[in-house]
Amino acid sequence: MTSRELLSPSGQDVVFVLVGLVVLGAAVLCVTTRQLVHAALWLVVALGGLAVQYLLLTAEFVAWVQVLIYLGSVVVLLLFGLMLTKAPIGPSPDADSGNRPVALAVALAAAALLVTLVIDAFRTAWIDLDTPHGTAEQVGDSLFRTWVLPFEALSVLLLAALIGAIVVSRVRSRAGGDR
Amino acid sequence: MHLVYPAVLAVLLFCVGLYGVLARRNAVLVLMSVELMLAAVSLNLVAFDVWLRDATHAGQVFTLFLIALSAAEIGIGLAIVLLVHRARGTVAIDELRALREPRAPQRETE
Amino acid sequence: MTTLADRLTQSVDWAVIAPPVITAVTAVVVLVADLFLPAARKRLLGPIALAGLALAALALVPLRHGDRVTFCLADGPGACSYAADRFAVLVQLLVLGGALLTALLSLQETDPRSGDSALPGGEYWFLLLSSVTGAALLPASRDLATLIIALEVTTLPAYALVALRKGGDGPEAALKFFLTSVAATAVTLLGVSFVYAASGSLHLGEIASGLSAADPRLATLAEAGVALTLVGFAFKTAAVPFHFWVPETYLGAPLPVAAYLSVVGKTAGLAGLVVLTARGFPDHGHLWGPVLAALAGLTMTVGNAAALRATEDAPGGAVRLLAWSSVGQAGYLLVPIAAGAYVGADEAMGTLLAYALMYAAANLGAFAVVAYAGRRSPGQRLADYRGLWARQPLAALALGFFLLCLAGLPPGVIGLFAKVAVLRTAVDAGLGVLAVVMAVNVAVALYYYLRWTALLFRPAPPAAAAEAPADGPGDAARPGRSLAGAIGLAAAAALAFSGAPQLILGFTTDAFL
Repeated sequence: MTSRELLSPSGQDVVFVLVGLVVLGAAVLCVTTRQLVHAALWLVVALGGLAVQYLLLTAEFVAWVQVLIYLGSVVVLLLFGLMLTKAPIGPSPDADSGNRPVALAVALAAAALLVTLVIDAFRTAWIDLDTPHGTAEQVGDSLFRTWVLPFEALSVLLLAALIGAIVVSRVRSRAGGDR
Repeated sequence: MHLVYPAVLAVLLFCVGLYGVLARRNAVLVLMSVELMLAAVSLNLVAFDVWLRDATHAGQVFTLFLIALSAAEIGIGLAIVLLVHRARGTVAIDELRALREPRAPQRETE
Repeated sequence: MTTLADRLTQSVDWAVIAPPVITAVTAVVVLVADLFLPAARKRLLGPIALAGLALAALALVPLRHGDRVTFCLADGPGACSYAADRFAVLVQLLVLGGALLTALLSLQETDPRSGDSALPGGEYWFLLLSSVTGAALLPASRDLATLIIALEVTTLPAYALVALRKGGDGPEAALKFFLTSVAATAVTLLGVSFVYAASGSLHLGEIASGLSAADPRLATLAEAGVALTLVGFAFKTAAVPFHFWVPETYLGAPLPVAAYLSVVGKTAGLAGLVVLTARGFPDHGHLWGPVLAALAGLTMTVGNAAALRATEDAPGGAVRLLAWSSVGQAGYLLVPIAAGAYVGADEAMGTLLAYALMYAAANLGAFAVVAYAGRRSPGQRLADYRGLWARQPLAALALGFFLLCLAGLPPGVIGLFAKVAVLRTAVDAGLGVLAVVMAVNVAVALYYYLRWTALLFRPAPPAAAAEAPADGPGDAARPGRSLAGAIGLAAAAALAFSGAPQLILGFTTDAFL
């Protein structure tokens, strides 16, 4: 292995850092903006940026699943949720609670601790990106050779979420009259 | 690529989500912050999987499971939020006080 | 070498994984049957669910020797995802038994003849059975993916079940339960990712060996991962400070759901904690032992202190008291898990099992009597129980017995023996301070258990007898039967344990690993 230094980044590293800054910026805007719909849209940017990071890490299957499910359905659901709870178009007065200083302190403390921990642990850890490690064929092979049980348990989870969501949000008219 | 890049990004993203969970009042915004935390963990798992060159692809497969799990939780979470909105007219989590402990014996809860 | 056709997927030993599979299949059968049954026959859904649970419990019998595994890795027989060892089989027995009792409690709530206030039958049974599937899968999971997903399968249907009672406070309770639970999951998952980085695998056996052989530079990361994973898991089982959703959720949820969460939900979560500590992180006992001990002490103190404040006239006081009592009992249940860091996993698992079985019988029985008495006095005030001995003597006797079991006094002898077993494990582990804290808590808890028991046998105020609403000719009889059946079963179990304590105390000296 050739010796590599932190300060001589490759093209992938540069793109990773730039996209990472975009992701972080979008996430910060998502949790601080007072306009509810903007928060959802900044979430789209953050999650989309993460999909790009997965592509850079050669995990292409996960990247496309992220785009499909997170951007395709999760964010759409959140937007519907905002619409159906009558979120205002402009700034909303009830977006932030009074806990903001405490929350900021906790988050900053946690960030300081965890970043120190992580940098200290991975001082000399390099990822080899020369061979792709996460094509659909590889992941599918693993899924059905090694991870069948959690995969099947997940199907029960998804069905339970589906039925649960329907039964919770159904409007009940009269006894026996609501199918 | 140095592993520090994705690991630090994931940790910072997690803490941003943590701030959102603690600071936000609207239940849908709290859900968005939880999504940020789960996405941060997924980035961690994928980065570690590629770093370890795990033959069973445990990290990436678990990330796929996490994406499905987040979708399921968002589905049921939003259904409950809608139910609360229909019942109480608000989704601000600090206004939902009906079930708090009764302060004095003679005062009834709402 | 294996050919492509060979080993395309994992091999499955269906007999081993039968209990969760039968429960899941029953869940789907009930859901589909709901579509096809005419309205007159919807009452059959409950018995179908009961039959499925009984069948799943029977499927445990061939597994009782505890040496079967399935879903193993193709090239390494050591790493399996599902292991039906003795501990797992016994916890599954507890889960399925608790689910059976909950199903009996639920028959009244889902009875379509109650009209508008009935819960939707097919969906209720489906959600309950899917939660039981997760709870049955949890103690037998041997890799982190299955463990976390099983935990989610246990709790996600519970969010919907809590919200089913739409009027009143069900929705708020469900929202608070949901938000705290999801945040706890996120913390757990961060810990899991760090453990994965340090050990290189998600299978518990390989994690244990991977952590001990890990690069020393990753040691702090590994410890942080272990701590976060366990703390997040404990939060999901209502340890302090994530305990505050418990009373509000139990009050807002239908009563059988509250009973289910207090027993099966907690036990499954705690069993998962034991599996994690005993099989995944056995060498890190110096880290998780003190943390879990502190959580145990705090949880039991907070739960008992809050239960002391229960007043007689507050609406819902009976359920609120049971909720805080269950938080306190969760603290007692955490003690053997913490002790496992010092005395070894066998004694920890055995003591946990013994106490959990006693707690399950007594708590479910108490909820059953509360449901039975609640038919006449839906306000569930503690004051409504005054003089229950005069109106419904058997119910009063049963409730008194269950409360004394939970308190640890004769004639609830098994409660006393189980608490002594837990204290002895704590002392053996050198957790002297925790043992003292637990002893003080048990003494303090006597106050509210005995106060309620005494209320049962006081003479009733004369106005209460006149106020009791008259039941219609048919509607009291049938629902009362299923509730009475539930009370009877729980009482039989608790009496059997009290009469022959070795039935469950024998586990404390068994070998499980």
